[in-house]
Amino acid sequence: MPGIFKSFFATALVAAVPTLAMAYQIGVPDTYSDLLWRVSSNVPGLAGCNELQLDATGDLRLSSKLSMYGALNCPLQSGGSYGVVGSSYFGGDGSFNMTLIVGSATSLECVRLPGNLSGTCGYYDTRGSFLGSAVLTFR
Amino acid sequence: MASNVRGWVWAVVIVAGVLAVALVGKVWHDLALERAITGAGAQPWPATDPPTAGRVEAPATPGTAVIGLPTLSVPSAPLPAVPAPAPPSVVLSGVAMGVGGGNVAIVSINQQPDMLVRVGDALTATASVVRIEESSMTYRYAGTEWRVSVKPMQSVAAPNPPAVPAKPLPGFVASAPAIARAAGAEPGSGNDAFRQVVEKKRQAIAAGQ
Repeated sequence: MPGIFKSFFATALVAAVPTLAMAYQIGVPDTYSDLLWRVSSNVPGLAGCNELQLDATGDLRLSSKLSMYGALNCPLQSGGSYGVVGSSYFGGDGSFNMTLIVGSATSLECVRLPGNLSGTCGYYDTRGSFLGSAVLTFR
Repeated sequence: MASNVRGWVWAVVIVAGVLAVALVGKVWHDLALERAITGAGAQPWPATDPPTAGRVEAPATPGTAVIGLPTLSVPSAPLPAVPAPAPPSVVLSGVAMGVGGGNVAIVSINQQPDMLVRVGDALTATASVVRIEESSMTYRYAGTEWRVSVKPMQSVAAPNPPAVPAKPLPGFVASAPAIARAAGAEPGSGNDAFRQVVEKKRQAIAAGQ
């Protein structure tokens, strides 16, 4: 008799595993490479930077977030660049919000960009002080 | 009684005579004064004043001129003829479309600050705007029309912006090499694909998915 119960519960558990596993969907992220924004800024030290080159990785079928990384190129500033890393997410209103760390002392906050992914962003230092603004234009 | 009345009559007559003589003298004096100032009406006042730049002047009258002069120091001889005032120096800086649709000219008169004028406005007491065209303005002075063109912009030697902006912020990689990428891939080549994905995601969000 106990053997029958053991077999019954074991069979039920095995039958439930696929259902429980479907509660978690494991997606495959895509990488959207060679994204380019034109940048214009009045922040001292960043005024010579006019090109934001990023890649974005995420699974937009199962998620609304992306990891972003690349460089802020400064051809008018000794041909140098700043490393850039950050993230972005879609708001409930469909807006595109992006926060990037530029170099090691500033962050670029792009809040509620519309569908053309272009707009005005704010530069802040690590203490959160506003340094200036930048206009990003998605090419 | 009759002699008293006669005395009063004579007194009144004498006082009236004295007043009449004084009045006649006053009138004669004023006429002589006015003739001395105006030169027998040959020169309108104030013909010797140069036109005031940038300001609309109403023509002055002899009467207003007399008021400001000391009575006893006026020479009795007529003033010499005064040459006509020099034409105003008019510099046209630009022409703009006015609110009402007519053109508005930006002019400087006799090196004074720029002012806006329309057709019919006075530049000086003796000059007024006749026409304002796309790049020129015509004004009438001394019965003659004068035309001025928009003054070309003077080239200003602006200092070249420094090739290197202010001190770079921490994390700056000077003379950074170009980002390595796959052959054929160019910066921005992924924008169109990403734009489509973003648009699809926005539609999904709008649809509540």
